[in-house]
Amino acid sequence: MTELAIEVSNTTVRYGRVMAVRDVSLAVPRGSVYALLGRNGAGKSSLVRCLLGQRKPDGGTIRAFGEDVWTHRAALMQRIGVVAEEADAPPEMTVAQLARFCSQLYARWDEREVDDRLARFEISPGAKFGALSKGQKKQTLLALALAMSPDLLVLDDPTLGLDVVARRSLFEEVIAELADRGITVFVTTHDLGGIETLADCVAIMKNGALLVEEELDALKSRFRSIRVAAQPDAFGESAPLSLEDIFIAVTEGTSR
Amino acid sequence: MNSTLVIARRELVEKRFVFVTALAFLALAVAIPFMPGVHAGERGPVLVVASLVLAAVLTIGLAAILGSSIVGRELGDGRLSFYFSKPVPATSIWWGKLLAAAVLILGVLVIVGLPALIAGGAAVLTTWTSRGSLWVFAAILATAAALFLLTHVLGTFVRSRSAWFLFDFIAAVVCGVGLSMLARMLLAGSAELLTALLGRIFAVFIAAVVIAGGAWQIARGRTDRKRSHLELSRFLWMSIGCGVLVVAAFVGWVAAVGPGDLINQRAVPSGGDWAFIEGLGKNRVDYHAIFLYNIKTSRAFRVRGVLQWWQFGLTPSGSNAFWLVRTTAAEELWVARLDSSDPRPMKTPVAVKSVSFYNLSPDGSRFAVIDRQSILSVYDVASGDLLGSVRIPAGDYWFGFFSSPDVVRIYANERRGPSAIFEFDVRKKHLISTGALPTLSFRLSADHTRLLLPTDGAVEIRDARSGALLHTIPGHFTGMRFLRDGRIAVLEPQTLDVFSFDGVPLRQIPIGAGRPQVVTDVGASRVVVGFRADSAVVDVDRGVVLRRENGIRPASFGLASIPMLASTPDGVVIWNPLTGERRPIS
Repeated sequence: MTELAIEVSNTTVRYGRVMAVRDVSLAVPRGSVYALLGRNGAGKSSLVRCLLGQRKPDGGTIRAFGEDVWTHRAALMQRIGVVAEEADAPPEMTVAQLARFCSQLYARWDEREVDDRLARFEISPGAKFGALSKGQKKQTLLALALAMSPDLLVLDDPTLGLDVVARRSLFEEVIAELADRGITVFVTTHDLGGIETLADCVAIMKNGALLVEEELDALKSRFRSIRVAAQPDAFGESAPLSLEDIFIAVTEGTSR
Repeated sequence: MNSTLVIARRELVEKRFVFVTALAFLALAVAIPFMPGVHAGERGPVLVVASLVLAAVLTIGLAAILGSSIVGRELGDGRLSFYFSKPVPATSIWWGKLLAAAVLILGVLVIVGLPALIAGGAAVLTTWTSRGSLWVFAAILATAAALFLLTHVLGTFVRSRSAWFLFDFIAAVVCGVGLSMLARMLLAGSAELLTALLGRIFAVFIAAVVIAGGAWQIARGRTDRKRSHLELSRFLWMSIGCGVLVVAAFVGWVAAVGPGDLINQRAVPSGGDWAFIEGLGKNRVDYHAIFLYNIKTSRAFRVRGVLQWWQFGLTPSGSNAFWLVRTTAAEELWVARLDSSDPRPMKTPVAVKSVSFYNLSPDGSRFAVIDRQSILSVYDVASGDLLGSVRIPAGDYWFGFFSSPDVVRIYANERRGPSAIFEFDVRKKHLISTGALPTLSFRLSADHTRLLLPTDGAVEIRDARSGALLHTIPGHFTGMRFLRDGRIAVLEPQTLDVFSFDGVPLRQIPIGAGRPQVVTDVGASRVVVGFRADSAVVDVDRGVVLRRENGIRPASFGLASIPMLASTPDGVVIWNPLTGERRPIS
C-alpha cells in the first residue's frame, strides 16, 4: 500500500448556505506531484485552507502524514512548506527580516538555500515585502517555503502573477527538482500546460465536488478511449490529448 | 526561541515607530514647561501635568488602536494565514501579540510619564487625588487595558461583517440588564462596598475572559474571520453568561438574608410583640436588611426599599408600622397592621414628594406629611385622597402626631430657637397656633396630653398642646420617661425616682452603682433600667430591684413587652428580663 502524504476523507466546507466543498475525498501519495485543478470558485482554495489546518472542515477529516491537520497543525507545519494564493507576509517586513523570522521557527532551516534562491530570483533581501511585485512576492514565499526542507510543498496557484520566464522556471526547475528529491508537491493551478509535464496525479473540482482524481497517464488514456468510442472517424488512437482538453471536457459538463 | 517570544518580537519590530512617537511626546512634555508664559517656579508642576496628560493620551489612544488591530486587521486583510502556515501554535500567536501590545502600552506610559515621577509627581498629584502618582499610573493602565480589550472585541465583531453581531448586541444587552438588576438588588440593601467589590471582580473576570477568548478565537477560528467572530462570541457570552449566573447566585444568597443572619443589629420595638430589626448581613460585607419581626413567634417580614431604622414609624399603641419607599416618581407609603392576623407590609395609594416629616394616625386611617416647602398635607390612607393641606408658618424641623382623627398637632422647631405648636383641623381646613416650647427635645405621655422637657438642672412637666409649664422636678437626671400608666420615671445616678402624672414624688428606688442611661417600661409596673453595659429590672410598685444582669441592656428605650429585644456584645437577642432567659433572633 502506498504511503500517503495527504488523505482527504469526505470533506465538506460551507460558507453559510453556500457549499464550497462537497464531500471530497482524495489521496496524495508521498513523493508525487499532485495537481488540483478547477475553475475559479471550484473550491480549491477552501480545500487548501482546510488542508493547511487553517479552517476546520464542516465535515470529514484531512490527514497529512497520518496526522489530523486541524489538531496537529503546528507540528505538521515543520514538514509542510506553503506558498499561499494571496501573498500574506507582513508588507512592512523586509525579505531578510522575513527570512530571519522564519528561521527562528523551523527546526530545519537552510539559510544558504534562501539566499541562493533569492539571488536567482533577483530579489534584494533589503526590499520590503509590500514593495515587491506580485510575482516576486510568490518567489519570496517559495524561497522561504523551500528553506525549511519540506516533506510536502503546498502551492496554491503559485504562478498567479508570475511572468512567462518565472512560470517556466517554477515548473521546470523548482517543482521538477523537488519531484526528483522525492518531495511531495500539492499544487493548485490554472496553468495546465505547465503542470502537465510534471503532475503524477490530477484531480479536477467543479462546484465544490471532485469530478476526477486519477493518475495523469491513466486519465489521458481513459479520455482518449472515450473520445475514440464517441467519434471513431474523427480521431485516430494516437491523436494527442492535452490536460487542457480533459479539463475543458470535465468542467464543461462531462462527468465521471 | 519560544514561538510566543518570536511573534512578540516581530510585532515589536513592526511597531517600533510607537517608541519613536513616545520619545517625541516625551520631548514635548519636557519642552512645555519652558514655553513662554510659564514661570520658573511653576515648571515642576507644569512638567508633571504635561507629562501625565500626554502619557494618558498616548497610552489610551495606542491601546485603542492596538486593540482594534491586534487580530482584526490581519483577519480582515486575510494575512493571519502567514502565521498559520508556520509551525506556531495558535495560542502562541495570540500570546505573542498580546505580550507585544502590553510592552508597547507599558513602554509608552513609562517613557512619556517618567518626568512626572522624576519631577515629584506624588506631591503635585495630591491636589488631584490623595492616592498618589502610582494610582494615577494604574488608572491610566487600567483604562488602556479596558479599551484595548474592548476594541479588540469590537474590531473582531465589526470586521467579520456577520449577522452574528446582532446576537452579540442582544447578549450584551441581556448581560448588561442582568448585571444592573443584580447591582440594584445589592444597592437596595445599601451594599455599596459589596457592589463595588463585585464590580471590580467582575471587571477583572471579563478582562480575563476576553484575553482567554482571544486565545480561543485564534485557536478555533484561525484564519476565517466569520468563524473567528463566532468562536470569540461563543466563548465570551458563554463565559460571561456563566459569570453572571454565578454572580446572580451569590447576590441571591446575599439578598436571602434572614433575621438570624444579621449582625450589628439595631432594633425598634413597637411596644408590643413586633419590632423592626435592622443590621448587616453576616458575611455579606455591607449588605443591610430590615425585618418586621415578631419577638414572640419569630415570624418575620422583609421590609424592602428602606435602609435605616429611623425611617420607620410606629403608632403610639404599636398597632401600625409605616414607612416610605422611594421610587423614581415619588415616595410611597407602606403600612403593616401589626394588630391584625396578617401584618404583611402593604403598599397604600398614598404617594408623596420631598418629605421632611411624616406620621400616621393611631388607627392607621390618615397620614400626615410635611414637605420641604413646609406644606402640611393630610391623606386618607385607604383611598390616597388628599383631605387637606396648609403651609406651616414656622419651623425648620418638625414633629407631630394626630391628637384626634381630625386634628394634627405640629411642633415646629426653629433653628437655634423655640418650638411653635400648631394644630391643623383637617375637617375645618384650619390651622391655629396653640403655644410654644423652648426646644424640640421632649418625651410625650402615652395619652399625648403632657410632655417632659429636660432642662439644665430639672425636668419640666408641660402641657402638650399649649406648652405651658405645669410643674418642675429639680435634679440632674440622666433619663426620664412617662410610664404606660402615666407615672413618671426619672433616672439619677444610683436611683430611679418615680413621680405621679402631676410630678408628685412617689418613690425613690436605689438601683445600684453605675450611671443609668435609659428606662424601658415592659408592662405590669416593671421597668428595665439600662446602664452602660448591664441592666436592672425594677418593680416600681414595690420599689425593689428584681434582678441585675451583666452584659445586656434594652435594645432601645421606650415601651416594650416581655420578652423584649436587648443588646449584648454578640448582638441583639430576645430577652426575658424577669427570668434572664436569652435566645438568639432566628
